[in-house]
Amino acid sequence: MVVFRRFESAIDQGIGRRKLGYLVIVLVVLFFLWFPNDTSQSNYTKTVFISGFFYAIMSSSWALLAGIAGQFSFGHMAFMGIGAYAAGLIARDGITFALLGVSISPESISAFGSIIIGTIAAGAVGLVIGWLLLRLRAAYLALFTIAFSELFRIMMLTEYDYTGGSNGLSLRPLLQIADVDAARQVEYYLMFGLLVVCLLALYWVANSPIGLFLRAMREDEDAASALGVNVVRYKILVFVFTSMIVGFAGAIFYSDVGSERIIPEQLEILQMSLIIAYAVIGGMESLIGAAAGAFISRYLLEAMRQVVITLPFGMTTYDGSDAFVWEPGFWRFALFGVVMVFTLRYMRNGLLYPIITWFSGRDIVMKETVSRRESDDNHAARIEADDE
Amino acid sequence: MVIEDTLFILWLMVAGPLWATVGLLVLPGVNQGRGEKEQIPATTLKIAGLIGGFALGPIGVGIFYFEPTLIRRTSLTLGVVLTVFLTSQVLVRVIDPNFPSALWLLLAGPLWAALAAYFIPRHYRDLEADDQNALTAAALGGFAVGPLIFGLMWKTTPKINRDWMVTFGALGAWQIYALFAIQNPTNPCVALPFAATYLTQQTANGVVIGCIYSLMAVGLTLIYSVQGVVSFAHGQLYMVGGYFSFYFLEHASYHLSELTGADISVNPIWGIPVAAFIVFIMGAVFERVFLKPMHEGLIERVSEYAILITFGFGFFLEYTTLAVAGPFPQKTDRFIQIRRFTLDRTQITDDFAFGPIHIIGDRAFAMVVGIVLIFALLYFLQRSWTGRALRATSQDRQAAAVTGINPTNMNTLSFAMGSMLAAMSGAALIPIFNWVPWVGAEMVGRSYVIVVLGGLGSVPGALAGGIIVGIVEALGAGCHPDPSRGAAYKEAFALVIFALVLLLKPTGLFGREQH
Repeated sequence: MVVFRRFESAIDQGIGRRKLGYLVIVLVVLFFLWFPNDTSQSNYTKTVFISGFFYAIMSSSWALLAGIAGQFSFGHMAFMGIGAYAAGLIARDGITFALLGVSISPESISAFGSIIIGTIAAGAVGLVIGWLLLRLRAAYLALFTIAFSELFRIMMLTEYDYTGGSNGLSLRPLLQIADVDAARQVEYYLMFGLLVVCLLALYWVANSPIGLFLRAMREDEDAASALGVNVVRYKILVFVFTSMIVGFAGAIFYSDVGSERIIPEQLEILQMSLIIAYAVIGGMESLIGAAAGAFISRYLLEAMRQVVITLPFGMTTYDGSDAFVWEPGFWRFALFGVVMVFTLRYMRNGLLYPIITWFSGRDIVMKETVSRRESDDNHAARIEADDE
Repeated sequence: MVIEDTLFILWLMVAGPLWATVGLLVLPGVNQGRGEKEQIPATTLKIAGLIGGFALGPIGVGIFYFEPTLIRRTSLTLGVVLTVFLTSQVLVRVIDPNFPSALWLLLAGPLWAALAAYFIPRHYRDLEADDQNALTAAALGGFAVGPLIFGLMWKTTPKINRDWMVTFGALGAWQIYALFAIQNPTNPCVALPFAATYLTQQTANGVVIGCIYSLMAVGLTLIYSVQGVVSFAHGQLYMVGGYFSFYFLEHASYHLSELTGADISVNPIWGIPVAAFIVFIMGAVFERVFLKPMHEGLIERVSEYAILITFGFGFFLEYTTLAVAGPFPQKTDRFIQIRRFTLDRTQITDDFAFGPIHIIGDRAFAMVVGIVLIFALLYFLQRSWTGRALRATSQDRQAAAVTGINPTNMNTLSFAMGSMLAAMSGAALIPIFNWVPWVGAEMVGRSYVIVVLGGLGSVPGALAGGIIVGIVEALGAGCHPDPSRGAAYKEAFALVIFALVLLLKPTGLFGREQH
């Protein structure tokens, strides 16, 4: 502890915590940029990283929606699915507007074009759902979005003539690279770049005046509305924005980048609950916290598929090997659930919150404010006067 | 078949309207010779005459004429249902199958509903009229009568009561059924002579399963009414209840067989109290540790915390069960087997038969369990001191605390009891369904539909909602033109109702105002 205090004061007098934080972020980005060049890493690890990036996008955009804007949507996975399914269907069947006499053949759409159309579709549905949700709050909103995403999943599962049912739907491959190793490399950079871009976009919204309006809405919708925040506009806006982001990410991820087909199982509430758990563990009110929480949890869940404990001092197990091998299976998810519940109860801002606040220096400001108030002799008297 | 059809049309085209006219003319005569206070409104009598005459002919008119006390909402609703059925039978035979009614229903109906739902409540507010039910009535009416709704509701802005909404709802339902009949005349729900039996059979199935659904929904509604918390772990508690029952029965049967040397299998009914007891304690502990701080002001943003913490609890339960029990379907023995007496032999079957209607014995048994438990709960809530204290807490926490009720204990009790009811319905259903760890997800979706439909916080509402959802699912799945799709969309029918209720009338049928 003493060492840590000394280190802390040294940092404060030196480059300052905020700058150190930026330095750490730069180092982390550099690590991720260097990582696929490490020849000792298998393609499997890269695949885990790719899905980690994808879930980081999902979690951080959910954090904007739920943590910052206070809209408890369980339909996030469904919006992702809308993006992916719309892109896949457009690329396979094309589209005909009978009334306008316009017809777009599947050949005339590139893979990227279909992804853009998927994104627009997700945004359009987000617009409608956001408008419908204006009247609903908290639990009712959560229930409605659960119903919406279940309906969507059942439709995708049942209309197998169009969507392939439980076999899933293949999207048009975005990258066509024959060599597996090279392809994995490109997919890795693509997904990482997407994560960075999405985080920047999310931060841009969260730090703009819109972010302030969203926070005000979260705290008290009526008060915000009375103070002149256009609640209707920003509620719809945040729905459209986040659903476009996840629709875009989903369409890219399933275009043979992270996964070769989208299946309805991916849209189950259980999958959605994983995203919520990642965001909660990482910190719901911090976008980077949610993203890091998702990535780390994803990595740990993969790494814990097989736990090997090597015994020290040449000890052996009863069957003569020198290590315990434990395959936790579903127990790791159960453990994950315990972590989630206790995080919510005892560290509601997430496990990464202390680290983030330390770097941002916010806790110094808080401490100073508190100590100034405590040292203020008149403070206690003033509170008493207020009470009377 | 040909003769039957012709007769049927003759009856409908000639006799139905004829008797309806007779009813219309005759029934207002009921008021003559009745005292000042016993007078029945003339409109009610005319409607009763029309419906009774059309649906049941001379019998209907006669019953209503000689026993006017029977003119109640229930009998009129039954009449409307019959009328809907009969008139669509005419439509099947008269209208060309290519009539673009599908287009009307799929495009124009929702379009007018949306337009009416947007403009009419605003108009009501502009004129400062009572707009309490205007949105619901406008949307239903827009769907049912299209642009006419503006004519009905714009000029005079009438006060909307429940009858308006029932009428529009029935008209809309009639249109859907008619469309159905026209597009798909060979459908088992439309084609005579089986349609009546088939529909009754489906409705009976729906009622039976609906009572079981209610039991689970009642738990949810109990928790909500006292704590204001929607438990997102409810489905998993239901699932866990089934598993506790399963393991208890397995072990009990094994050990009893060991002890006595005979092959004993314990009846699944004993699993219900065991599951109830264990889950009651689980619920109580969870409430004490995680929900109690919420009521003590230790947590900011309570409603979000409540959603997430119960959700996390469910997540934990689901994966723990997956780890312990594995993803394999399990099932226990049957509750009962029925001895059916026939002329030549005694047959053992698994269903009750009432004429052509069959009801699976285990489902009937589970329904009885469900109804008994719901009424036991109602009795407990109405008559016992603790039950009254629970209700008092749900109405006003501060006032209850002043009168010496400990709200903290009531919170714990409500959550534990609600969870217990979920577990009991799980234990009652494991002999019927294949039990897998994710069985709760489907069921809990249904109970959200039920509680929102019945009104969050209302126990009778949950019972009514359960039966409605059961019937809708059974009819929807049974009448879908493509049977395999119909079964797959079973949940979806209820979810559509759910979305509509949330949007049009979030307080549900019996609910209090939304907080």
